Amino acid sequence: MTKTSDARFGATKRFPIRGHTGYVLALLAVSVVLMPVSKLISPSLGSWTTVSAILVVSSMLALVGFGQGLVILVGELDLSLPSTVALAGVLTTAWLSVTPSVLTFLQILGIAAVIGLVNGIGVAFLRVPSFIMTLGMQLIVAGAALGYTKGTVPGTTPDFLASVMLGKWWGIPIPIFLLVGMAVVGTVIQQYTRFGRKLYAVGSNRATAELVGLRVGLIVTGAFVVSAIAAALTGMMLVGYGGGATLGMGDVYFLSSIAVVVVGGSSILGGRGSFLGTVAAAIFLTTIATLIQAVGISQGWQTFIYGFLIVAVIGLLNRDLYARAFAPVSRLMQRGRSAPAAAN
Amino acid sequence: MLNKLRFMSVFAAAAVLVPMAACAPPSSNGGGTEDDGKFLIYNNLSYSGNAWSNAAANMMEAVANTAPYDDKVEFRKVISGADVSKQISDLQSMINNGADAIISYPLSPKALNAVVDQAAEKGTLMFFYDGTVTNEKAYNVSYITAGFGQHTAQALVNELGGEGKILMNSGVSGTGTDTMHNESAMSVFEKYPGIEVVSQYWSNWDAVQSKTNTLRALAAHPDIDGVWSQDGEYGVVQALRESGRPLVPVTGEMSNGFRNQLISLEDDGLTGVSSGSGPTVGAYAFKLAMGLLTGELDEADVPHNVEFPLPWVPADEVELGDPSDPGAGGNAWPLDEVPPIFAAGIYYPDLVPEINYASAIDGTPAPGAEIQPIDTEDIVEAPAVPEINSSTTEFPGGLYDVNPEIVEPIPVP
Amino acid sequence: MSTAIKRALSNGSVLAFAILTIMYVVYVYSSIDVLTVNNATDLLNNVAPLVVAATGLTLVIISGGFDLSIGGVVVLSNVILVTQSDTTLQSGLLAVVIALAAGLAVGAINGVLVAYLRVQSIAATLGTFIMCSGIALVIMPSPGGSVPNFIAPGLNSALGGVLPVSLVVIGACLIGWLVIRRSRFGVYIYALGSDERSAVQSGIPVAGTKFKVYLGAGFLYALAGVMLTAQTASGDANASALFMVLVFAAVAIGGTRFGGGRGSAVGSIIGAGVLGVLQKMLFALGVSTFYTGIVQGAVLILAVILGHVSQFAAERLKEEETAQPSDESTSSEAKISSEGVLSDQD
Repeated sequence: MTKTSDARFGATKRFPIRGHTGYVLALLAVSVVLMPVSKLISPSLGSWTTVSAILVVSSMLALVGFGQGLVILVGELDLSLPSTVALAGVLTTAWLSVTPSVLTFLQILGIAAVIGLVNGIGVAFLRVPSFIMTLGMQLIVAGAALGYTKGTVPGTTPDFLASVMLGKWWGIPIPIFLLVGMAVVGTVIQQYTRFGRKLYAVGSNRATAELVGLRVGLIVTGAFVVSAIAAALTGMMLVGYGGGATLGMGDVYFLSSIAVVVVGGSSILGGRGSFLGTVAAAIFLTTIATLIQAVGISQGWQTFIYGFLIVAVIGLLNRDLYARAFAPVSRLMQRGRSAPAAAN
Repeated sequence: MLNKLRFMSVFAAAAVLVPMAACAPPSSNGGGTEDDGKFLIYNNLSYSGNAWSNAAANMMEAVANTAPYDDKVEFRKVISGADVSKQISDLQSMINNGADAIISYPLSPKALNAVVDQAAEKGTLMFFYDGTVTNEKAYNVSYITAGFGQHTAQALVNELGGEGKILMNSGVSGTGTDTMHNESAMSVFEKYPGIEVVSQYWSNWDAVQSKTNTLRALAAHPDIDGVWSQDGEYGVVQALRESGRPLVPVTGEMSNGFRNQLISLEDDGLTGVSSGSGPTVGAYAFKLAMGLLTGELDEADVPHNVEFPLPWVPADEVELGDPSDPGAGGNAWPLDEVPPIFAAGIYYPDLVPEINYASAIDGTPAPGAEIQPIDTEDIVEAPAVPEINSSTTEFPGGLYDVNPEIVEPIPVP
Repeated sequence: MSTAIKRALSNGSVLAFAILTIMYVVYVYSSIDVLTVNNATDLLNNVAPLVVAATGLTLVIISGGFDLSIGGVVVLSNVILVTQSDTTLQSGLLAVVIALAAGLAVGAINGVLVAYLRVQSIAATLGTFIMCSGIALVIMPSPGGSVPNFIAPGLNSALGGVLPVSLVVIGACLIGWLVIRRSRFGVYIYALGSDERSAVQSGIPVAGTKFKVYLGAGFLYALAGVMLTAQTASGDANASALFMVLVFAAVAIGGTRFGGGRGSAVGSIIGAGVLGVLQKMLFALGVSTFYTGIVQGAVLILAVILGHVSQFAAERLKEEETAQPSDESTSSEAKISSEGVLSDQD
C-alpha cells in the first residue's frame, strides 16, 4: 500500500487498489467467460466475429465514457453529450466530407470545445447545477443542429473515416486498435498527468482543493471541455462506422454514458475511479446487450434484463466484496514485494 | 467578485425576460384570429428531428403557399416535441386561439382524444397524418391500413421461394405503427413453415441503429437468407455489405439511400422492394382540410379515416429522377444531390401534384404551381381498426390480407 | 437591498412564485379567453403529474440523493392502471391500488440499494429506471387500452363545475409536504442532506430515513402516473425522457439545492407551475419553430440562474446578520449528491 497510490485514488481503504482493480478484472473476466457460454444461445456466437463486433461498438462507448468519466470525477454530470455527438456527426458529414482537411477537423472539435466551455462556465462560475446546465445545453445544441440542418442532414461519410472505422489491419478491425490506444491514452491523461490528478483532487474534496490553491473553476471547466471533445470524436467515429449522421445518433449515449462510468466503478461523488473501469464496463455492457438481443426475446424483456443486470452488478459493487475475494491474491503479491502485509 | 458576477447574471436574465414580456405583440399567436377572412391553420409536429417529419411539414408549407391558398391561409407551425402533455397543452392553446384547422402528427392514438372533443366543441377541424387517433370526431389520413407489413413480407417470401431464415428490423417498440407492421408481417411469415424469423430487433427507425443491430444479429446468425425491415433499411444493407456476406433480398421503406442501393448493388445480388410511408401524406391531409373549409369538398366526400396509398417500388422499377425537374418523375434521387436519409417517394400526382423536390427540402412552393382540387373518386376510405383509428372493438376481417394486385402470393412449398 | 426584500428573496419559493406570476401575466396579456374555469382546469390538469412527481423528487434531493427512476415508475403505473382495469369503478380502484403498490415496490428496491447496499443513488435509480421501462413494455407492448370514467375524465374534471380535482390533488401534495416538513422525519431528511457525517454522529437513523425517502418518492411517482393516465386516458409504455427532465427542472426552479439540505417542495410545486405556464407563454409569443429547443434550453438555464438570486440574497443576509464573510465552502453546491461523504462508505 503506497501513499502515492492512495493519493491518486483519494482513498484510505484497506484494499484501495486491489478492490477497484479486482472489480475491473472481474468485469472483464465475466465478459470473457460469457463468450463460450453464449454458444448455448447460438453456435455462431462467441466466435471471433462476435468478439470483434463487441469490441468495435465498445470503442465508441468507451470514448464517450471517457469524457463523461472526467466530468463525474469532479463530481458533476454531463447530459449534453447526445446532442454534441449528433452535432459533430452532422458537421462531419456536412463539412468534412467536402473539405477533408485538418483545419475542418479542428474546427469541429473547436465547436465542441465551446459547448464544453459554456457548460463549464455555467456550472463552475454561475453555480447552475450541472444537471440543469448540461440539460439546457442539450436542448440548445439539439435545437441548433435541427435549425442548421432544417431536419435533413446533408453530406456523406468522409472516406478516411469510413476506411478507419471499417478497415482492418492484419485482419483485426482498426477500431479495436483504437480501443486499446484509447485505454492507454485515457488512463495516462486521467491518472498520470497533472491535469488528471487535479481532477481527482477537486473531486475528492473541493474545499480542500481550493485551500491548497487549485483553480477549481478552471479545472471543472476543463473537464467539461474534454468531455465535449471526446463526444465530438465519438460522433466522428459513429459517422464512419454507421455510414452517415442522423440528428438522433447520439441519443443512445444519454444514459449509457453514465451507466458505463458508474458500472465501471467510478464514484458519482467524484474523486474515485479509473478509465480502465469504464473501458471494462463498456465491453461488459456491450457484451450483455449483444447476447440479450441474440436470445430473441421481446424488446420489453430485453430492456428489463439489461436493467436488472446493471442493478445486480452495481449492487454487488460493494468494494469490500471484491477486496475480500481478491485478498488471497493481493496477499501473495504483497509478500513478493516484501512490504509489510496489509493489516487485516 | 463571484457574487457580483452572479448578481450581474441574474440581472441579465431579468433583463431578457421582461422585454420579452413587454414585446409580446398581442397578435403573434395570441389575441385570437385576425379578422381578415383568412383561415388560421396550424401544423403541429411532435417529433421534429428527422428527415421524414420535416419533409412532411415542408410540403405542407409549400402547398399552403401555393396559389390560391396563399391568400386564403394563415399557416403556422408549432413543434411540440416528444412529451404528450406538451402536445395536449399546445393543441389546447391552438384551439383557444381560434384555429380553423389543425394538422397534427399525434404522439399517441388515445391520449389526445379529450382534446379532439374540445376541438369539436369549438368547431376546429382536427386532421392527423401518418399517426392516427381513435376519436371518431377527428380525421385520420394514413397509410397504416394500406398493408405495408404484409405486402413487403409477402414480397420477401416470394423472393425466398417460401423458405429461409430471415431477420426482422422493427421500429420503435410500443407504438401502434410498429405493432401493426410487425403483426401484419408475421401473419404472412406464419403461413410458410419454411420461413424462420431467427432474430427481431428494434432500431427506432434509425439507419445507424439499424446497421449496428443488424451487424450484431449477423454475428449471431450468419446464415440468413433475407431481411424484412421497417425504416432504417439503408443501414441494414450497409451491414450486409460489411459483414462480407453475399447480399440477400431486403424489403424496406423509401429512403433514398436504399433505392440507390437497389440500383448500384443489383449486380452484387441485392434485390427487394421499397415501400413505406410517404411524407406527402401531410400535404394531402392539408388539402383535404382546406377542401372542407372552403366548401370545395363536401363533408360526405371525406370519410373520417382516409387511406393514403401504399407506394410500391420493386428493385427493377427504381428510377433516378432529376430533383430540379418534377416533370421528369422518378422515385429515387442521385446521392450527390439528395442525401441518403431522405424519403424518396414524394410524388403522388393524383393527390398532391403541386409539390416538387425543393418543396420537400425547404418548403418552397413549386414555381407556377396552382392547387389542383382533389378528385373525390381518389379519396379512399380506410377500414376502422381498434386501438388505431377508431373506437370500435371489432377487428376488421381481412385487414392483413395480401392484395394479389400488389404482390401475388406464391404457394406454400 | 433592504433586509426585508432580501429576506423575501432568500426564500426560493417566493422567487419562484414571482417568476410564475410574471409569466402568467405575459400569457394572459397576449391571449384572450384565458381566465375561464375550463382553461384553468386544463392548465392544472396538465401540470398535475409534474407537480406530484416533483414533490417526490424534492424529498430525494433534499436528502442528498438522486433519482433517475421517475419516468420508469410513472410509465409503469400508467400501464398497470390501464391493463388492470375495465370499465367498472371497483376494477379501477383496485388498479389504482396496484399501481401505487408498484411505485412503493420500486421505491423499496431503490431504498434497499441506496440505503443498505450503499450503492450510489444515480447508479441504482438508473438501473431501476431501465428495469421499469422494460417491464412496462412487457405489460403493454402496444399503446391503447382504456380506463374507467372516474379516472378519465373524472380526475381531470371540476367538482361541481368549479373545483378542479387536479387542484385538490396538488393541494394534497402541498399539505402532505408541510406535514412531513414539520415532522421528525422531515428534520432527519434535512439533516441527512446537509451533512451526512454529522447526521450519523447525532444518532439519526440515516439508512432508515433514506429508505423511507425513496419509498415515499416511489409512491408519489406512481401517483403522478395516475394523474397522467387521467390526461391521456390510455396506456403507453414509451416513457418520454422529457418528463424526467421537466421534473428536475421544476425542482431546480423551485430553489431546492441539488447537493441536499436546502429547499422545499413548495418551490418545486411552483416550479412545475412555471413550466406549465412557460409552455403557454412561449406559444403565445410565437416561439415555435426549429429553434424551439434553443429557447427552451436557454429559458431553463436562465430560470435556474434566477433561482440563484435567492441563494445570493440568503448569503448577503447571513453576512449582514453575522457580520462575517460568507463561507465559500458551504456555497459550493455543485456536487450532485452528498451521500457517502465518509470515505469508506463506498
